Order: sequence, then C-alpha cells, then structure tokens
Amino acid sequence: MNSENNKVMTIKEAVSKFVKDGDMLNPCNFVYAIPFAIVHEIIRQRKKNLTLASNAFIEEGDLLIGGECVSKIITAYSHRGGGRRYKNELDRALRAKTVEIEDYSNFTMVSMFKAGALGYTYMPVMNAIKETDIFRIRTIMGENKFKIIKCPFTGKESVVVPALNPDVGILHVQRADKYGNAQFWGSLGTLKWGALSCKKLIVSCEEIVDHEKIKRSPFLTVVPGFRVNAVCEEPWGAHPSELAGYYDVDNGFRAFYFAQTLSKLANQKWMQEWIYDRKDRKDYLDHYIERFSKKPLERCKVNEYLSDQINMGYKKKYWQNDFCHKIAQTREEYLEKVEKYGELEL
Amino acid sequence: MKYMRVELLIITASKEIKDGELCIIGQGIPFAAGALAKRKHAPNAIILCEAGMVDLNLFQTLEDISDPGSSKGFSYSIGLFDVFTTIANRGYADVCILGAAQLDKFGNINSTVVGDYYISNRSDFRLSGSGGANEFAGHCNRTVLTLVGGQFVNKLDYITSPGWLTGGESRRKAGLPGGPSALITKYGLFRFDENSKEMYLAGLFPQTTVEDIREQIPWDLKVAEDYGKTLEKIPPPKIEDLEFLREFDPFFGISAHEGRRLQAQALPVFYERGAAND
Repeated sequence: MNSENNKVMTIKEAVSKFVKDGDMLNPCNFVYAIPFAIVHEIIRQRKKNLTLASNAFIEEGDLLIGGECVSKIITAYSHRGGGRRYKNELDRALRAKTVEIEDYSNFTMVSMFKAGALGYTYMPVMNAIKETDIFRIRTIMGENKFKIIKCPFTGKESVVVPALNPDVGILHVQRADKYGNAQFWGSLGTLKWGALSCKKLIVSCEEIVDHEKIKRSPFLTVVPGFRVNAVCEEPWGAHPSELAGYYDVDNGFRAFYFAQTLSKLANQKWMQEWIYDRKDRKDYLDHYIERFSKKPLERCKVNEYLSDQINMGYKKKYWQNDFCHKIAQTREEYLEKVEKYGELEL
Repeated sequence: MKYMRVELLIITASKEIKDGELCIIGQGIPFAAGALAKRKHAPNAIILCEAGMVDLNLFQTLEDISDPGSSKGFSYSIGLFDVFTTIANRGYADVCILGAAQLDKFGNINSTVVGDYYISNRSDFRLSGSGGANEFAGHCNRTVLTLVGGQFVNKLDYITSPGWLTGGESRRKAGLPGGPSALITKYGLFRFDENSKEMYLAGLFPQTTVEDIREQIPWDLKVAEDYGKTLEKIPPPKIEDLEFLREFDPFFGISAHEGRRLQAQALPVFYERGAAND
C-alpha cells in the first residue's frame, strides 16, 4: 500500500467530502457504539433531505430529525429511551408531516442490507412478516417493500425483500489503521452487512493503530480498508453510547438529554448547546467536562477483561542457510538442476 | 419488605425458562428474567440476544439490546442476521421472552404505534417498532410475553408480531411454528387454550382479584376454571430473588420512571461534588 491509501482526515473534512444532500445515510452501528461524533458533524453542516436507512436508532435519529437533516426514515426500531411519557422528535416530525417513515423488522432490514452487500438484487426472508402490518402497510418503499415469489425448488411461497445500497455509511469502531481496515468487537449486530451495503464509508475510531497490529488479529476487521473512504480518530466518538473495552453508556447524560428535550424548542436549545455551538468532538468533550467535571466520564470507563493472545503463526521458510527443505537440495545442487531443466537462455 | 409488581412479574417469567433451553431475550424486563432463570433453576440455559451475543451470563441489566459489557464475556459472537437464520429459522430457539405494548386475546403484539399509523391525531404516538420481535414471535418454539405499561385491546392499532393470529389453527395454516405459551402482567399469569388459542387467566398475583384483571381487559376474559383447570395462586417473591433483581437493576425496586428521574439529576450532582473535590 502506498501513501495515497492514507485515508486519515478530520470528521469535518470527511462529512463535507462524502455526505451529500439527498443521500441515503446508514449509521451502521446497531444500538451500540453509535457514531455520535459523525452524526453531530452532519447536523452541524446542515445536510438536508437525507433518507435515514438505519436498522435501529436511539437518540442519533432524534437529533438528525431535530436538525432537519432527514425527510425519510426506513427502520425497524427507534429507541424510546425516555420511556412512554417521553414525546420525541420522531412523533413531532411525523405529526407535522416533515418526515415519512417505513417500518421493517430488524431481520428484514438487515436482509435488505445483506442483499445489497452481496451484490444480489433481492433476498428471501422468514415468513412471519407476511402475517403482520409490517408487510401490509407500505409508505416509502411502496410495491417494492416486499414481494412474494414461488421458490423454484420447493414451489413454496417465499417472501423477498429488495437490496438496499445506501449512498454513505457511518460507523464508529475501536480501532482502524490509516488505510481504513476497521476493527470492531463487542456486539456485532448489523454492522457488517449495514456497512458493506454502502457505496461510501466514513469510519471513526477511538485509536488509529499500526497496520501491523491489524494484521495480527484480522478476524476483528469488520470492514476492509479498500471499502473505506475516510478514517477519523475520535476518542469518545460514540459517547454517550458504549463501546466494548473503552466505555459504558453514560446513563446520566442520556437521562439528562431526555429530561431536557421534551419539546421541539427544548430540543433546539439542547442541540444549540451540544452540537451547533461546538466546533468539533474535542470541544464537545471540553464542554462536558466544564459543565459536569471529568467524574461522570471516568465512571464510564470499563474494567479490563483481556482477550487471550493466540498464536496466528507463520511458517518456516523453504530456504534456510542455502538448503531448501521443500525439495531437500543444497543451493548448489538446485542450481545444477536449473541448468539441466531450464528452457531458455538468459 | 415491600416489593413492586414488576419484580414478581420477572420472577414468574423466569420460571418459563427450563434448564438447558436456548432462550432469546428481548429488550427490558426479559433480560432480568433470563438472568434470574440462569442463576436459579436453569444454570445450563443458553441466553442470547438478537445483537449476536450468545451464551450471556448477565450480572446486571443490559442498557440496551446490544450492550456487551453486562456479562463477563460470552461464548459466541455473531451478527444479527446469523441469530435469525442459523438459530431461529433452523428451529434451535426453544423460547423467546418479549415485551409487548398492545396485546389482543390471541397474543398478537403491537409494538409499532398507538393510534393511527400516520400519527394524524394529537394522541397518536410511535412505539419502538418491531426490532427483533416479528421473527422471534413468529419462529421460536415458544413465546413468553410480558406486558408492563401496555394495554389489552380488542383490535390492535397495528399488528407488529404474530401470536396465534385469529386463533384455532390459523397460525399453523400460515406455516408458522411455535406460538405464545404464556403472558405475564403485573397482575397475573395467562396461558392460551390449546384449541381456541384464546388467552385465559391461569395464575393470580397476591393481593389481586380476578375482578382487578377483568377491569383491564375489554373482552369477556376466560379463567382457568372455564377450561376445567385450577386458578393458581402465585406466591409472593422470596427475599433472595428480590435482592438479586435489585442488584441486577435498581430500577425494579422503585419503577423505571423514578429511576430515570434520579438519573437525570445525577449529572448536576456529579457537577457539584466534582467541583467541590477538584
């Protein structure tokens, strides 16, 4: 790999370069390790008319709606962290008809992403969906939400979903190298298929590490570098959600958010303070520490539970000290054979 | 000592998991039911969640369905797609425990919207959506439902996940295995008649009457006696179980609403104490 493959940049650069108005956006992390730093930047840059195609979302969806970045939502789950009494931006926007929503289940949603990732045009899904309003009520996807085909082998009815290939995917991971090889662990959810279905990918990570470190544990790589457009080092990039090995959910901050955003106006005020008035993630963290001290963040740090080191191993070489173990010949003997069997003159 | 009805609900739900079973847990209360079962009578149960963490041994509640840090490791790390296909679709999921928001008499679930789907009226609001519920309810060998803040209705506002559909043989005719085997609310335990598939009251919580339950149900509720069975008196919880649950999640002893209120106050508390100490 040469230096042209270095994809390291700031989130600000990455979002301005790779997220366009009208794009279909997939925040790929599944309820966990939400790429909040990238989401905040998308809102700060006031991207418009996005289709949020997300397997499941928590506050990042509310923020994107509150920031008037989103006009369509395709999802299986929107977390109501504030409980039943909490009326959120999604309800308000649906009532005001500023967004449209299409409901799937987690499985049918990830099946659309997987079909897109595999380069297929559709994917069969489990047939429970057919008995429910998820199948019957259709909005954004219309006729193409689901179809029923006949299995060519068994003749049985099979519900299928279309492939989905979002324009841009955003994800937060533990670590990546400068080429974009992204390593992720904890709860895998729908991240892999969500990310591989996208046309462009922005990866934020807690740490950019040496390529050598990635090679020692390739099974942790969820997205290969050649699919990634931007790598951004952003410690606490998923705060207030959690990231295995780094930090736990900041429950206090999430409850504080829910308690402070009960109306559209209150949400705008919250976003002004925590998103628009902040230059970047560093500024957000400084502001947090200024308001609440470092203590809540320190409380979030997780205990150590180290993965066992395994031996990936690499082989002994064929040639050692001028002797080839593969054919049991000295170099001298070998060169004699080369002279004997060679076909062309040098 | 006082206790919350939710605590007895969780203890009752945990008994639906048998030792050695593969049990899929849904968001919220099911986490605690799975953990309690594993601690008490089902140490060999395999507990997993849709986010792909298989064989969890939870020491406290998951903050969400995808929270990896509340179990000290787990045995098998896969993606959501593999949970649904290689486990549920292949018939390896013995039981799933799911929370419901709206339920009808056949155990069909609405977890998408209360009121009109298009949120046309002021009173309409979104629930969380299906998440994993649709296919778990549709394809696991048994479904155990819990209802806490929700309601029973004659007709669901939106059918998110299948129970016994229209009763009788309708679920089998649709080609679906499994089906709801139990429903636990804050007042009692319900089961489903093997022929009609209609729910009936099978067990009653302490300090609760059949009339209390009838008031919450808009149809003429059947009780165990209607099917020649005995209505079970569910005993109050054991102190050790309550202690486990409160360690697992302090919300259970005081209600989630009160818990969240305290959480929201916690940051300024940190702020004041932090400022004093620095």
